[in-house]
Amino acid sequence: MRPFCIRMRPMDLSDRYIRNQSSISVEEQQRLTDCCVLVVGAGGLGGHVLEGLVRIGVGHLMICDPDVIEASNLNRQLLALEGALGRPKVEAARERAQAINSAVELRTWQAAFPTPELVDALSGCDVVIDCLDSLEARQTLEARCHRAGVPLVYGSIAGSYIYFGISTPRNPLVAGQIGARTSLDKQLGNPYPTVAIAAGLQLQLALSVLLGRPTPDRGFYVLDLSDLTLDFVELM
Amino acid sequence: MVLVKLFAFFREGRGKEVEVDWHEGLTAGEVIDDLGIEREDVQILLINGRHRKPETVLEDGQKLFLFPPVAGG
Repeated sequence: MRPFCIRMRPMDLSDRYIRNQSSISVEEQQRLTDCCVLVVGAGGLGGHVLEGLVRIGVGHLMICDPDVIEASNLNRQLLALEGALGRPKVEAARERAQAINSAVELRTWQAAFPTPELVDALSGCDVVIDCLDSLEARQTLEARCHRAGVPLVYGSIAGSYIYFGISTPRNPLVAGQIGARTSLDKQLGNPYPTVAIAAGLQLQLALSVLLGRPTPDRGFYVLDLSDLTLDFVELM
Repeated sequence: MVLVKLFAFFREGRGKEVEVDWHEGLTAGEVIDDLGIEREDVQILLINGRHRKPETVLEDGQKLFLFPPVAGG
């Protein structure tokens, strides 16, 4: 009887980014491998945003979140699996990122922004993506990004509604917002389509910033998925 | 006249835009009250594209944009 033998062949990943073209040229793809993005929050938006960045091939990624995975996350969060309940979200993020694209470098912090280390890391980024879930936390993050001169891709959701845009010192999006009571917002919940689409929109804006493509100058977008209306709100 | 533009669920039962009569001393907060919106439910208040507070006095012909809290992630 001949011995049973399995030969492992090295994986050929040369076609990994072939379907990014022509949305992302070969030269742009190369540039993305040198880019650094910080994702703040690894929940609904953060999990999807990280997934996108890893698959797109952004070379240096960082993510922070203090929380562990809970049952209430299962409806929408990519990192939330039944078998992962109770595990830190950033640990799940690390495993998933590594499983998808081992060429990407990912640093994780099981911590809420800001910590001194995170503030320091932020200043070396090309873009920061806001995947937080409160106005107060967003205002802190925006202030730190503006101080460091790093563009912030803003995104927030409730029900079928998405507010999103690119915040810069010239286009502050969160600082002037009022601390409204959020009971109405919470009642609407965060359904899956809204989360996935909002993350996709944030990814598209982040990509535009990273590749130096035109971005909206002064203002932000409001999308209502219930009737598919998109408004661009111009700021003075 | 002040043009009020509403966003997200503020549109429910009110529509996208409402025109309200202007008078001297009219504040954004009074317009919010007249629309049946609780002032503490307004997360973004813009007057002619600038962030303002409900206490701000409106001028004739200004545009008031109101946004409810949408803060999840």
